[in-house]
Amino acid sequence: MQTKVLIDARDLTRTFGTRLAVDKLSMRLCEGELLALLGPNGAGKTTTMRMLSGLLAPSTGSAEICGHPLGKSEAANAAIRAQCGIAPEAAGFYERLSARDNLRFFGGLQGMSSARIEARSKLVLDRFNLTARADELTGTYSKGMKQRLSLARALLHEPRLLFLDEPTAGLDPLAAADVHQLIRELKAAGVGIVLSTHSLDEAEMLAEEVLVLDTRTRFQGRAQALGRTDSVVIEIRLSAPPALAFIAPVGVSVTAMGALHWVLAVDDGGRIADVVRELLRIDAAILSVSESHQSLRDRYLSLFGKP
Amino acid sequence: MSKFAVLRWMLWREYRDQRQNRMLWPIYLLMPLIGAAVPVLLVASTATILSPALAQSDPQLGALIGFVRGFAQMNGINLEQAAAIMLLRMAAGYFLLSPLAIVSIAGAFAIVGEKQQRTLEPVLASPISTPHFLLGKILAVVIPAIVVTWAAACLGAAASVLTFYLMHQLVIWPDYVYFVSVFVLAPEIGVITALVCLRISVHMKDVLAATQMTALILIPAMLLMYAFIGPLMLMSPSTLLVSGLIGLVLCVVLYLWVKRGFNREEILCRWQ
Repeated sequence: MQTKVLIDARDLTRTFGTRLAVDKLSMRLCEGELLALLGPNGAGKTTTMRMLSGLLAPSTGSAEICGHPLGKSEAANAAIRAQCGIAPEAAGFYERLSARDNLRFFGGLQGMSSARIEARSKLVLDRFNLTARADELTGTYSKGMKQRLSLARALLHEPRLLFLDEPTAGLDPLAAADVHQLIRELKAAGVGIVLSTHSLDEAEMLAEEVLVLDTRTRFQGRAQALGRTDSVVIEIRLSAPPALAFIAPVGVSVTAMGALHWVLAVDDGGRIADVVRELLRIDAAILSVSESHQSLRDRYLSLFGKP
Repeated sequence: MSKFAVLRWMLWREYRDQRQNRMLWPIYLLMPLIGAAVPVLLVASTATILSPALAQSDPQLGALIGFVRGFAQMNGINLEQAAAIMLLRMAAGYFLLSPLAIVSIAGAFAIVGEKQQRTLEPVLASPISTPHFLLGKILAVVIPAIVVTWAAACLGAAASVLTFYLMHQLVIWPDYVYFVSVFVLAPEIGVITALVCLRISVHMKDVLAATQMTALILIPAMLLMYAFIGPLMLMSPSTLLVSGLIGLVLCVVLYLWVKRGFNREEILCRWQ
């Protein structure tokens, strides 16, 4: 069976007055895939999600979302919004209404029939362990409960495309693990997911593709590729400082050099032997030579010029 | 999605929310109570107003009694009946103020309340169109105000008729001015107020600021309405018809103004 493309965006740019929020973003997302949006605060992640969900029109560029052209007409945008479920970062609810009534209302806005709203509400309330307090006013809910209710609302109308803005922020580890499990289930059911997160572990664990954004795209590719570089970092530990000066071989650069602990970056794995030969030449008292792979976090930080 | 279904859900939600809003209940109860009492009190004072001593001491009242006398002759009714009908016309003026007051309180919450609860984004993320959203908001504040005003006007009119009969053993009926004011002009004023409140609410960040700004605009409007009560008593059917048409045009123009000012994207991004 052919997988359908849910998002096909080309050079999406959005400005607010003179401020550039997102610059020439291009991406594709198919059914059953998850794209993680990473980036610092103010990088344009929320703007990107709003554009892709038909809430904001791009200033330039084009996109097709669930087969509808983005920003071409109000009808096309409404059709896009009908296919999307959104769990925004700040989960807003009518606080003088119960959780069940909130779901009824939002289901009604999605054009669902009353019978379907009731059936789906029961299902999602059960799924997020909210049934026992479903008839209480949402004003009495904790942040975590609102977060779960926000996910329940986003899934109520069975969207094809889901936008999750930091869905596990404010959740305890158990609830967060439950959300991760839910995301896996949704992916398996063919739902396309765009996940904005600050958790690199979450991105690595769940995403097929990672997009690091800082107004413009800093990195785009598989999550595993973000944690990998062409260079190899080696750590050398010595028992005593060598008498002779270390001369870095070609293709090797010194990242850090303490008295007994050196960190070197080697362009090509084959040149590690050159480093060892140089250490022997200067008669260094070697305790260990080990290869150190950069973590996803290190690589992410290095994208923003942070060591 | 059916247009009617969206409006039905909008109204369902708004009324559930309003039912729980303790700030709205006093005005919903107080205005109709006063409204029902005003015509009765005015009709009950017919004899006092017609007293020659009072007419001599107040030239304006004297002129009014002269007009009432002409009205009585023209319609073949006695002076008390004519005066009571004129006083009912005056009472109709209250029913123009009633929707203005009720709608302005509820209307101030319309958009800014959504902003404060952070519900605007999930609502606008649904397929709802801007006209449906605005229409839902307008109807949500106008319908209760109109229902309350009409109920008070009907109750007030019935009680006035009964009061006058008990006092004078004569029958009176509210005339066209009363009915046109209550059933045409009052709803128009309700819609106009709702539209002004919506436009203000769109640009405000908190309920207090929206309420203050609404009051700043609507207090002069109320004074203007108050000044309209005098001429209302003397209006001919054609003048009333023209007033109704002007009100209708104003409703349409203001709606287009509000719709133009309701930029979904701008509202969504600016308030955060």
